[in-house]
This record gives sequence, C-alpha cells and structure tokens, in this order.
Amino acid sequence: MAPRRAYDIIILANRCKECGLCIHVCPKKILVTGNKQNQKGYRVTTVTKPSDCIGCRLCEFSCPDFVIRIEPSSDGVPKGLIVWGENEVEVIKD
Amino acid sequence: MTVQVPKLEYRHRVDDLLRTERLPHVWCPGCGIGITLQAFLRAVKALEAKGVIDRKQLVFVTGIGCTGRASGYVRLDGAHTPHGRPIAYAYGVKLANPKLVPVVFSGDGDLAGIGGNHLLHAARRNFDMLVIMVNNFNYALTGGQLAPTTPHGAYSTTTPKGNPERPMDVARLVAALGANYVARWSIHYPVHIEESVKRALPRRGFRFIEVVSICPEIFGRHIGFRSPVDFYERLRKVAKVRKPKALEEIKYDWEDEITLGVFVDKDEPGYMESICQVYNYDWCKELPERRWSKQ
Repeated sequence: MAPRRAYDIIILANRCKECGLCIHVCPKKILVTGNKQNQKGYRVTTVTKPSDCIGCRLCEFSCPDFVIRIEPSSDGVPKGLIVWGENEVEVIKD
Repeated sequence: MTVQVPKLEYRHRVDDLLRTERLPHVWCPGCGIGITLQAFLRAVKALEAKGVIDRKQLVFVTGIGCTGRASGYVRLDGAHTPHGRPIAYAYGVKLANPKLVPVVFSGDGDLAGIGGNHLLHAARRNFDMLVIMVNNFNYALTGGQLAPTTPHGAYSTTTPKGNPERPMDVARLVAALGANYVARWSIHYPVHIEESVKRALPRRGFRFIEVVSICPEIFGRHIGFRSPVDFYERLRKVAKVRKPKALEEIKYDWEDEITLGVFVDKDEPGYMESICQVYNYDWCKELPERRWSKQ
C-alpha cells in the first residue's frame, strides 16, 4: 500500500470567526475549536492530528472567511501551521 | 511551539484577488457569501491559468446589501452601485466597451426584490453578463425584513406571525425568460459553484447562477437555527440535486425541496450580437470570438 500523502493545514488565525463550519465538514474530524483567541476575540480553529488529513480540501472550500488552506506538505511531514502574525507561526505536529 | 518563519509565504489561495488589508470582512460568522465568493475567485484563477479570460477584462459589479459589500474585498475593477441597479450598471459597462465581461454579484433582495425588473429584462434580452445571486432568504443587512425569496410561513422581522406570501423561484423565473445558462447550487456544493462559474463566465448571453446560502445571524434567529452548523444541516435536508425534465418540476419549498442543478445550458446569440445584426457599429467587428464548446 502506498504511504499516505502528507498535507500542511495552514490556518490564518486573525481572519477566523469561530463559525464551526470547517469543524463540521471535516470527514476525519481532525479540526477542533482551540483555546487561544485572535485579535477579534474569536477562538481559532486548531488541528489535533495532522497526519490524518486526507487533503479533500472541504474545510478550505467551506470556510467563509478565507482562513484555511491545504497544501501538499513541503517537507513530507504532515503538520498544522497556525499563522498568528507576520513572523509568528505555531507548528502543530502529531 | 512558536518559531520564526520570515521567508515563507502563508497566504490563502485566492489572496491575490482579495484586498487582504480589509480582511476580516464584515459578514457574520457562518455566512455563506464568503464560500460563494471564494468559489468565484477560484474559478477566475483557474480560467486565467487556462488563458480563457484575463482578470483585467472583468468588471465586478455589486448592488446594496450584505452581498453587495463584496466589491470592497475583491481586487478587480468594480462598482458598488445603487440599490437594485447592478444589472443596469453592467449594461453600461458592456455597451461602452464590449471587450469587458461584467459580473454582477449581489443578493436576492437586491436582484429579485428591488431590481426585479432589471433582472427580468436582462434575461429577456439575453444580455451578455454573468449574474451570481446569493440567496439568503431575507434582507439581512437592514435587519431581516421579508424578501421575495422568504419561504412561505417563515418568520422575519416584518412577518412576526409567519410569511403569508408565496416565495419567488428566481432560477425558474430566469430560465423561463430564456437565459443562456441557469444553475442553482447551495453552499454545500462549493466545487459545483466553481465549475458552474468556469462554464458560464466565458459564455455569451445571460448567465445566471443562484447560490442558496445560510444566514444564521439574522434569518436563523427568527426561524430557530441560530448556529451556523444547525442551519447548514437544515438546508442540506431540503437542498436536493436533481435533473428536472421540465421547468415545472423545479421546486423552491423550504419544507419539501429546493431543487439544485443546472437547469438551462444552451448557446444562443446574446444581445451584443443581436444588436450588430441591426446596426453596423465599428466595434461589431471586434466582438470577442465565441468560446463555446460542448464539454
């Protein structure tokens, strides 16, 4: 069996409005509401298990706020990248 | 763990078509306008990559309302026009410079309610423009008043005992008037919206795409679906993709079924070609080539 491809889940934190649609549509249920708040006071979606991501991009397509983007991983390691600012990126690995 | 990553670009896929300095946008959490706008922008990027269309050709015209705010966030030439008049404005755009492709992006209250007459006659003339209508069932920006698309019996700010009127099925109406392309999707099908725009944007004639959206903050408050996820699931129950054999089979019923799908897909001469058969203007020779293909 071919190894599962790795994906990066990039979340632009300051645009998130905590509507929960991405969490609802994810078929693998790897997205959850986080504890950390963004500039507007919304609790930003975060990733629990990036290696489970199958790259269907439903969360990206269903996000009304242009927050999420799914990309094939650049270094082959599945990870969640939560972008809080210009140079502040939180990396979540398994 | 926080690391310093100065070089890498972390941007959204459609960020080059957005005025990112104005984000986050004003739309409420869970509003479907963002999903529709993203699907449209993805389609524009895909068509541009194929060389079918140039983003400098596009004129993004919006009316007033929640959806009308979109022109402020899109990095395309555009206009934010008076209430109900985006189609009238798009007429002017196309007639002044036939090389431009006007795209009207507006809501149901703006296009079907206030500007209903413009919509009817643009469809009747088969005028060359793409109209994307985001249907959120009410006038949301002004506080949730009754719109022509509000379902029968639904509560709203101006119908506290339930809506006594029958709703207007805008997609069926435009199909009956002879538009070249009519489709209706809901926000559960973002890829289908994108494919519809890809198919309709390079076409001639009047193209109409209705997107049934959710409005959890205003309409959902009245009908009891305050959470975006609840409203999303309630709409999924009635939104059914079906290929109707006749226009009479298209339903728009909040209790039974909101029919989704492509209802009309044909290629008849648009208004610009019809006018050239009567008057021999200079620009008639420069009309863009027909880019129609039976895909």
